[in-house]
Formats: sequence, structure tokens, C-alpha cells
Amino acid sequence: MIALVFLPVLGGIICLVLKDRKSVSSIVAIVTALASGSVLPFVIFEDASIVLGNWGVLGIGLAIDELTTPFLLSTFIVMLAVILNSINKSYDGFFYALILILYGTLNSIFLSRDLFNIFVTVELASIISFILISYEKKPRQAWASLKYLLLSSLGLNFYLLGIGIVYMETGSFAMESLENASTISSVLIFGGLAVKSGLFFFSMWLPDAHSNAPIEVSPILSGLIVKLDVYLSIRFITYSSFSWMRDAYIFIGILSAIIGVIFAVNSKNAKRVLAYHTISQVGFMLVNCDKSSAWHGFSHAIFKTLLFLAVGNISARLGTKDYSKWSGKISTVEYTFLLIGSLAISGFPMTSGCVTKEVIIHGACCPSLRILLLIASVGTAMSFSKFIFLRPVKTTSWPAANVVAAYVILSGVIIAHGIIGFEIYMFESILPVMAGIAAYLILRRFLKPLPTYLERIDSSLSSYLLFFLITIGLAILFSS
Amino acid sequence: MTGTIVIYFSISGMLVGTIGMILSKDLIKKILSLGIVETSINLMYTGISARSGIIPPIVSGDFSNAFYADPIPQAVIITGIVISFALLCLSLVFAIVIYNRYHTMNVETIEMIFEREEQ
Repeated sequence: MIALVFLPVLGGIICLVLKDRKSVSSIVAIVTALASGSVLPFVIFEDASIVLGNWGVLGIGLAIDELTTPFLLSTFIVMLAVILNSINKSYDGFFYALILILYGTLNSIFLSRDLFNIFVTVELASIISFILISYEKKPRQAWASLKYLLLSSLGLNFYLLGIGIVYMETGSFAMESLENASTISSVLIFGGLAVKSGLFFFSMWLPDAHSNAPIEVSPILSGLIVKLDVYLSIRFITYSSFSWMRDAYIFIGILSAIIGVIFAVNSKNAKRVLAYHTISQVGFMLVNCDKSSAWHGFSHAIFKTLLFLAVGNISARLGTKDYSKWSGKISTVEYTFLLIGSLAISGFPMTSGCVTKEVIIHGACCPSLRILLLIASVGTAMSFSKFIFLRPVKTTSWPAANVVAAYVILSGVIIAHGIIGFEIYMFESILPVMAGIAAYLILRRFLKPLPTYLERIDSSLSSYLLFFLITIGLAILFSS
Repeated sequence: MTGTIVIYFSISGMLVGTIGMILSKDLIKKILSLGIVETSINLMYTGISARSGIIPPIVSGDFSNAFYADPIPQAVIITGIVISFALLCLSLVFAIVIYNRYHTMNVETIEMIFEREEQ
């Protein structure tokens, strides 16, 4: 189990030493990713737990169980695809070192059972992602990264305050001590992590950071960094001091699912469309905060990586992120993979998005919630019709072999997951997809980009703090 | 007693820092307000460990009656201090990158320039 954390960090150090030799460090990165992936089959099939050090309750606990599995798998597949896509570009050993250390850090967050250790690893993952967002050193990226930094470190200070109160009350940083903690500490822990979650109103830094990051970094941000809060919420909600959160998440999640889709449908910039869909899909996951949302997190990480890589490569080649200018310029191969990703995120049958999304919609607690989720689902299909209706041209030139390998791995996982998990009732999920495509054809003339007033630094800070206060109110309401 | 006063003091410092982050328009002042929040949290962990006394935890002889400070929060917050140092450095680097390009630290001006660039 320690190898999952240890191997990538070791590979990262080797890349850092061999910084100036580009070809060697990319080979080291692939070998390390494959090696840590080959550890996975030995550990994920049975529950296990160990405590590091000989200090009894004070030691740091590591454990693996059925909630951890989808996140560990998605981390491996996303990292492998990202490294494959980045070969033969201008990235040096420092980039691969950061990516590999981030891989080890993410694994250690998913394995850790110690609240303070989670704080340290989440901060480490955040610092690495700040550097990766501004890797091309453009001022626009530095600004997006700085906005993310200010909000995220303010939020993690609230988390630190929360676990300080847990320590005061129980005398331990172990995760089991949350069982006896008070509601105020759980509100602070939730509010602190919510800034990284990608929920609308809580993390308005997200569209700017995700759409301006380099091609290889956006999938990591959207597929993995955002999943930290989803994973920790699913983990914490099983403890009794967090029981108020299940009701609060139904409100916050459905709000985020619908507003994110409204912004995405109206956007003209292809990468911003994907960034707003991250907000919406996180809302989907948190409405139904249990094992099914963990698997939706897995499938979301895979298809969002495919979409971000395809969109990033196309916009880098054509020099524009405006999808309406792509028509007639993209090749059939690129269009095929874009189509697979779009169908998966809209929930078309035989893809992974359909399997996990249908479980969430059928697991919703009441009919009105199910209708709202279906509306968000129609909106998702509507905004991805933009990509479905692009016109490809027949060319003989293929993209580079490593890029195609990354695409094939991702779409293979999407289709395999879709066929293995398929059940016959899921054929009804074709209806929202068709409704969304029809709605797009009718309404496409009225779509205009919405104002980005909420994404300014002052308004995103104020909306985060305002909704933090609202959450405190909800917690008092639901826990009494 | 001392510990409780320190905890309340640090929480009020955190509120002051948060309000400073919202109200100031200057980028450097925003970053320094974040520094105030982080320092207050570090102070709070000292307060948590001092709840049963403020004597350092160097034990010799009979200590069953001694009121010694709890070493664990003090030990863990050292990591927190290092992290807040790294974050401050990184944010100042980003501020330098932005200043070199646009020659201003006012966030409203910077955001206006970016919105004009996108159109």
C-alpha cells in the first residue's frame, strides 16, 4: 500500500535529477506510472489498514476500502493518459517531476485516515496545481492561479480551525474522532473543503483556472483535484457529526447542477464549456452522497480527461477556443473521440456516463429532485450537441501516435465500463439525450455568453463567505 | 485560562484577516491579510496545546501533578507554518508576474484589462 505513494514520489525525484534530459524523463514518467498502476490489482480487492509508526493512536493510519477504489483507479488512468499526451512537447523534467509527485500525493490523500495528514497532503496537491496552472508563465494563467491560491488557502485555514476544535474535544486527529465531534467543527471542515469542491457559489475561481491551464493540466484539475472534496465528503458523511450534511448537499448540489449547466450552454469558449460542466457534474455527485457518487466521480474523471485532451489539442492546432470556428477543420479521428466523450457526459446508453448517472437519478430521494436532475441532464446533452454537430473533414493525416494511444485508453475504459455496468432499464436514458439535442436545435440562435461578474476575485470571495454563512444556518436547522 | 484567551484572540484575528481580504483592493494587501489569517491559526494551535498549562513538555522526575503543555498540536503546526510560508512566497511570485506585465496592483484595473483582452 505504501508503494502507491512511494513509487511516484521516487520517480518524481529521479525526473528532477535528470531535469535537462527531456526524452529520459518522459520515459521515467511512463514507467513510474505503469509501475504504480501494476501495484493496484494487488491491493484494491480487499480491505486493509495499517498504522505508520509505533505510537498507537497518535500514528498516521492508512486504509483501503471500496470507497477508495474508484478514486485510485481514476488517478492512475488520468495520469497515464496525461503523460502519454505530453510526450514530444516542450515539457522538461521539472514538469514530469511535478506530475509524478502530485500522483503520489493524491494517492496518499485517498489512503490517509488522519485529519492533519489530509490537510498537509491537500495543501501539497494545491501548491503543485498552482505551479502547474501557471506553467506557461502567461499573466492570464498567473492571475487565475493567484485567485485560486487566495481562495483555496483561506478555505483550508477554516478546515484547520475545524480540526483544531476536533482535537480540543476528542484529543486525537484520527478520522474516527469525528464521530464524537460537535456540529460547529463539522461545519468548518465542510466549509473549508467546499472551496476546492467546484460547487457553484463556493468555488467561482474554477472556470478561469480550468480554462486557462495548459492542455495537460486541465484534465488533472477537473478529474482529480476537484474529486478530493467529493471523496472527503463521501467519507465524512458516514460519521454522525456530519449527518446534517446529507440534507444540505441536496440543496447545494442540485443548485450547482442546474446553474452550472445554464452557464455551460451559453458559453462560446470550448474549454469554458467543459469547466462549467465540472461544476454541474460535481453537483450531480453530491446530491446523492454515497458509493454511487464515487463511481460517478470515476467515470467523470475519465470522460472529462478525454474531452479536455481532445479539445485542448484541437484548439492548440487551430489557434482558437471558439468551437463555432472548428467546423470543417477537424479530422475524422479527432471528431470520433470528441463524439465518444460528448455522448458519455450526456449519458448515452453503453457509455460509462449513462451507467453511473442513471444510478444517481434513480437513487434520488423524492420525485421532484429526480425531475430537477433530469432537467440538468437534458441541459448537459444540449450543451454537448455543440460538439456533436461539428462537421469533420476526411483527411489521411492522423494525430501523433502517443496522443491516439491516450485517446484509445480513455475511450476503451468508457465503453468497457458502459457495457459491463449496463442494465436494460438504462435504455430510457436515451430520452433526455434526444430531448437535449432537439432543444439545442431549436434554441441555438438565442445562446449568448452570460456575464462573468461572479468570477471576479472580490465577488467570488464574498459569494464563498456568504454561502459559508448560509451553510452554518442550514447546519443549525438540520441538526436540531 | 491563558489558553482560552489565546484561542478567542486568534479567532478574532482570523475574522479581521478575512474582512481585510474582501475589502482591500490592493493585491499585496490581500496577500498580507491571508498572512494574518494563517498566523492567527498557528497561534490558535498554541492555545489548544496550552489548555492544561504552559510549562514546556520536558519531563524530569515526578510529573503526575504537573500542568504541562500538550506537545502534539505544537508539533503538527510546524508543518502548517512551513506550508503558509510556501503559499506566501508563491503568491508574491504570481503578483510579481502580474505587476511586470500590467504595472498595477489594483485588482479592479487588472480584471478590467483581462476582460477587455478577451473581447
